[in-house]
Amino acid sequence: MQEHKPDNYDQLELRPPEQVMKLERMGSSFQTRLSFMCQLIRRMRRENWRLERLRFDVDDHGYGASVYTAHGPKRSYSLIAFTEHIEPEQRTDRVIAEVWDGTFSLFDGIPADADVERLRDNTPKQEAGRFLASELSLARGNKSLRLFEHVVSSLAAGKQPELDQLTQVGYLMRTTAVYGSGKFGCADRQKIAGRSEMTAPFQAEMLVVYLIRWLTIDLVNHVARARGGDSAVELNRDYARYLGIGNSTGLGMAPFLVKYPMLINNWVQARETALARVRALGWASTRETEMFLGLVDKAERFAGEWNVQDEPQTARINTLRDELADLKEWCRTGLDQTRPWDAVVRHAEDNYSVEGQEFTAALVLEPHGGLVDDLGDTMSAETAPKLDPAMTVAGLRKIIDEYYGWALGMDFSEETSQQRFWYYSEDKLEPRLGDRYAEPGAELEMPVAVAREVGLLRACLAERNDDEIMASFLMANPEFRHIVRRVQAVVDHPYGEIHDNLLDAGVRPLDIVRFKLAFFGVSKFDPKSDLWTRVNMYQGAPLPDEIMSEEFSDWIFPLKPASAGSAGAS
Amino acid sequence: MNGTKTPLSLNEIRFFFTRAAVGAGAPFGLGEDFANAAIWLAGQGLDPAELVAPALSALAGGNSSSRIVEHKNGDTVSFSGEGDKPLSALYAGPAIADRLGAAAVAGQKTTIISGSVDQPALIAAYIGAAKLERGLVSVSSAVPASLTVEYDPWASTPSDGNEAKMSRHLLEYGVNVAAGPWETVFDSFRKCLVPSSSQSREQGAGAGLTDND
Repeated sequence: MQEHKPDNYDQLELRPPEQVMKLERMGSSFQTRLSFMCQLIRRMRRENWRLERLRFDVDDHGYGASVYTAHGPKRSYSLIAFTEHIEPEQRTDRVIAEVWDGTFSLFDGIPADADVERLRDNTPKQEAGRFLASELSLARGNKSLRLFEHVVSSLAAGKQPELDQLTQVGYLMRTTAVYGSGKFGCADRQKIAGRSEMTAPFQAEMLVVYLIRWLTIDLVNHVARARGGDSAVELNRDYARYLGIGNSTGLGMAPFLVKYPMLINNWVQARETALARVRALGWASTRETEMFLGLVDKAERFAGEWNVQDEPQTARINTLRDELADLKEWCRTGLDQTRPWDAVVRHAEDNYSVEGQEFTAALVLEPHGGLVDDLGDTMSAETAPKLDPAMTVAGLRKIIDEYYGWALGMDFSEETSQQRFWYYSEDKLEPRLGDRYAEPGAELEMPVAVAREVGLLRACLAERNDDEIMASFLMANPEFRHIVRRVQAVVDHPYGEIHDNLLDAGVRPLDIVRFKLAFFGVSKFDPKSDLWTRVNMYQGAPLPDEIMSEEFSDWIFPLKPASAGSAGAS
Repeated sequence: MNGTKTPLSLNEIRFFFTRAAVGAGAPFGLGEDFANAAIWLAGQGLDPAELVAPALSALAGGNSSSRIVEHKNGDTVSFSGEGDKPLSALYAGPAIADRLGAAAVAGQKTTIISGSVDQPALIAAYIGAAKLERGLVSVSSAVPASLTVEYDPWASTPSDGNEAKMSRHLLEYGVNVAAGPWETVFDSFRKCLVPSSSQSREQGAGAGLTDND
């Protein structure tokens, strides 16, 4: 049977922005094979990357400096890590933290001793440090104290950790920020954008997290050995593979999605194009059918293992479990028809919750790498919207009326519609969400009020002559410059806008955060409030010496490993 | 002495300078163009902070005009500030660049005469940052602080490849800024930050003030 390849496909219509750019659906997103972590792992495997631990100068408690290097075909990238003891009362996942269990820099190349020493002075300071263009990323993380200690003491005593404890947390360390793109003097994105291994978004940041994961496994093994001597065993490989890197993600990530409409458009356009290609397929090959059935089965079990404390999310997961069971049943006969993948998606749209629909959309992409993986290279955006000063008032009105109907219908005279404001605090520039009517600072709000500003712009344009050009209009009305530039860009970037009001009293920053995290490739969203969530990254991903193995290439929706009992490492 | 311990990245220029303009009283969209102009200056090997600081100070201090008064005479446009105040470059720069951009689209020769500007060098930066798709711009100053900008969309602009070389240099080594002017920029930036309170600290973001699981 012929494999489906990009040069012999049709494409159905893409799901429109008014469907997929609503917060409810964005907040129901899942990782797909186009997610950035998945792209990185595939690339490393395809290009036969070599991963090497160059330095591991840590004491018996695991404190010290380490260097882990990833050698690609053209370049090497090194994680330089510093681990230290901190007091419990100092440990916070917030931006305002001052110390961390681990701090990290991704160095462009292989660092000399002088580079390590310079970074020893700066990396632990994080935002208070300064960095050079040789550093591509800056990150920090805190241990899951509970699990870290449990794993170490178990291994030191010659036994594997309790599987239930392992799976309850899922990570030994969680990152609390991973910076890139010129922050604190680090290299700008443009420095590396032309490198093939950095074409997809956030590849440097994804590499940082992958290498930190490796470090955390080495740390528990090392500390256990120091504590237990000859009695100690190494962490079981299946257990190690199940451990990812956690992340505490707060609302600070949300304004990013408003700030970069062209980039967000490209992410969504790639995903929707992938879905449209798959849905257009006239039949399902035997391989695709078998793979999909296996995947649905795996997804059902994955959802069964996804447990959180947040009650609304628990309810959504329970519904998802029922829907995946239904999907498994439906697939017994449902795939045996023309355009089977379109039929799957339609069945989900007609019968499932939004979370179930998005999960199904992620699932149908998975067996079709040959058809969709090329879209990964289209997901970056290296330019910003450019103002067209020659556009007429009439032209701009037309764009607004065509693309921003979702915004024009909103009533901003209602207090609740502008209850929230987003801002940078003087406290380490931490992004925060305020109550406009109860807190000071709204006059300093970030420019994320797209719906409100479009409404104001449209009202102003109604009073102007059709033929007036933007150069003249904006000279008289400079306050609209930002929104005009943004509106002009939407014609070529229709997925660049969130079709909801981010100032509304009921806005859930978590919806925006989850959307971005899904594109990163995270799993196991564990909301702690409407403002932040814990997640897991690279859970189930191949270990560094398994990257080349076919056996571990199918790591999406990772499942709890079989118990190793109290045996030693395997 | 360098204003920051290590050079600024282009993204930092963009972040701080955009908000410095806002802190001085300009709307965010003008702040974005202000940052682009600063990056253009850096691309010419100049210290952007040194060149923009006077314009920021003038605007923040109410010593320059944010309102542009326009007069037209055929293809020549004149801009001037309100009353006796010089024009704020943060406002005049984008306005001039926009007129040139529109002229480029229309294929129209244009002359813009600007009255006194608080920082004339910044006008050239705005024009440079606008990256007109074609034509030649010449900027002259017969009277101190005033400018005549002449644009011919049909003249060709020689390219010496320096721009690409300077861009690569900036990406490898960052942008150095002098201490005093950087302080002016940063002070203006800080005006965009909301003071923290115990309430906003506890409730304004997500995770707790301690996280030990």
